[in-house]
Amino acid sequence: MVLTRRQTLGALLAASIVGLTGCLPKSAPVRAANATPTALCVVLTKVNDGVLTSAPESLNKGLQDELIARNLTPSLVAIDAAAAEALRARRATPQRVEWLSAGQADAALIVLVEAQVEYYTQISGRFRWTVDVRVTATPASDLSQAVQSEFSVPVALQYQHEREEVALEEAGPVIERQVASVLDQLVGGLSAP
Amino acid sequence: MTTPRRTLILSGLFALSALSAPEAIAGRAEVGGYFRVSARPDLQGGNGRLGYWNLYGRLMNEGSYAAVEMKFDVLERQPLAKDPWTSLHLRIEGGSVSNADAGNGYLNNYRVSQLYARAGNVLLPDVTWQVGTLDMFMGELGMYDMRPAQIFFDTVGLSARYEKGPVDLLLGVGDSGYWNRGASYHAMPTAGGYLRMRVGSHVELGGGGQYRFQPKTEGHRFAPHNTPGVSYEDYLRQEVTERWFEENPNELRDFPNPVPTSAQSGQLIGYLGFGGFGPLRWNNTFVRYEKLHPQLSTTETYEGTSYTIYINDLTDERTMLLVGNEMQLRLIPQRLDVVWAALYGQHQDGDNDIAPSDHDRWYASTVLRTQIYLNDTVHWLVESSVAREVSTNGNAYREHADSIFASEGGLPDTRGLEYGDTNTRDTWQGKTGIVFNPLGPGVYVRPSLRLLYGVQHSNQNNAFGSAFVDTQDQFADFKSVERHWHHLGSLEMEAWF
Repeated sequence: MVLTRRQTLGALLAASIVGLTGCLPKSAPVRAANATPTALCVVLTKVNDGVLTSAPESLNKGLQDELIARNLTPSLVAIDAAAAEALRARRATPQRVEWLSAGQADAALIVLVEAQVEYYTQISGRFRWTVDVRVTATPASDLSQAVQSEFSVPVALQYQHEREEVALEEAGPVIERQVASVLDQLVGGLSAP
Repeated sequence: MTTPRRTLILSGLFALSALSAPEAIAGRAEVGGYFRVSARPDLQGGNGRLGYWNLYGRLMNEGSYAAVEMKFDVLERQPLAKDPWTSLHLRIEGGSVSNADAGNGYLNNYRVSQLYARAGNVLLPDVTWQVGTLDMFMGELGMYDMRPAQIFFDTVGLSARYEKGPVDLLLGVGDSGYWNRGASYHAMPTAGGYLRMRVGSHVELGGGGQYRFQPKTEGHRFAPHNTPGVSYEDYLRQEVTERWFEENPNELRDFPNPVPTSAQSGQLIGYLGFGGFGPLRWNNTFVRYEKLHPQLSTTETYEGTSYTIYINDLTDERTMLLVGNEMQLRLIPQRLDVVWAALYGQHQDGDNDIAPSDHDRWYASTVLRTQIYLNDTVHWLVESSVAREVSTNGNAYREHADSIFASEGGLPDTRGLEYGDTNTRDTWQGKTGIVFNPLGPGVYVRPSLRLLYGVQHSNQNNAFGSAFVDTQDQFADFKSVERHWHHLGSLEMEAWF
């Protein structure tokens, strides 16, 4: 096949766009000096149903990857019935962090991601949900150094049957980015001379 | 005895408590919405859309649009409690953005389309009450931007929605008079609802409907009436009064008075959804059968005097059947997604046997979109559509610039009711380009920034919005030209937030 000049230019332009966007420099994660055991707890609260449960697998994996990239060794806290009950009883973040700190004796760091997902409305053919997230990262032995971030992620789902888990999955890229930022602040601060 | 670690935790908790503000239980405000804007300089003279309408796929056939919905939590929903909650919603939307269309973003292109209050955990468990506007749909054909399974779009009133497990039941009542009649308001009580059921984890079924009734009201000029003795052809030609006075030359003051009647309309909707297995993410099938509400009146002027002709019975046999399907396939995860959609519509007007109109036609279309993920954020989009539209009451389209001479067997007919020289419009569109999705792969992931090229071929001449002249007047300053291919570039953005 022989490409015309116009086709060649088009192909070069497309390749350039892809190449440029793929090679844009990204800031390197702040890494802990030593491999640091870290308890990661991700809690999903379904506001409409009043149910507290675990987050989708894909989000947990994405968050674990962010920890690993910072030389933190993640240990995911399973949200089984007992854990859900404990977290349901402790609605305030400080209480939950304390509970995690007490239960995860081996963890040097605690990362708690609390997500509340609530239906908002139908708009322009989509089903609009709001994912409210609070990220808390702290040394297990010194909560005064905790770093926290709160943010909301709007999610417009395509289908009516898709609910909280899918909304949280859709919000995943934003949550992972925000958790990364919190971890960089915490790890950077702890490593500072 | 308190350990050092325990002491640090306790002291830290004070700091953390100060950091973590308690959850608000009232007064929270939030904004959501949808934006779409594009730059499409049309070097062939069009107004920036590839074709006439969404039947050929929404992409490049829609203009700018903005919708903003504000929500205020009067009583915020408590995540782990069953306390009463209430929120207020206000939506403003419209199809104009400064510098992007003829409306130039002026606010007269916008309207308050939704205003309602929602409340839950009141009177009945798992029921959400809504008072105000009631618009509700069971999903969308995203390729067409159409929502066949929609009810209460035109209604203000009260609805109750029960959601528990696999059951979603909505019932509502209200008034649709203002949307359908505007300044010529007359009450139009409305009732309806739907039931949506999830069957297992891969199938959903739904069905419902809406019914409107406009009562007979004597003495009300905006209530349904009929002017006696009006033929459809005279109504269509706007010659009712002329004909009457020709036939009744000595009864100038006795033009027939309108006779009151009642009117009704409504729609049935159906939905089947399935998916979540293999490469099939989900498939939506929607059906809508609607009996349109009759029109009120038309006005004619004869010898300087205006006459109102009431036309309820001349417009009360209009129906529409719409069937649509959309299938979303994830063929190669994170590499290749495909969406296939098809649409069939049939409009019938039992009163009109003589002239082509939007109420006497059928159309069918299919759209296929492929999105290839070159990397996480840069994607290559390829879309194609074919569509056929057929007028069932004679010619409705012009195939050629001089087709005005081709109607009615090759002879111009100044009294003819047909338009153009064919009853069929066949359209093909192809679109391709680069899509930038900051949030990663997905055909429907937004925001999307797109650089697209689109091409259309239609058997209809100049089948896109334009300011071209149609006239064949030999003294006209501008001449109509033959053009069946349409090329368009687009730089556009679309986002929900």
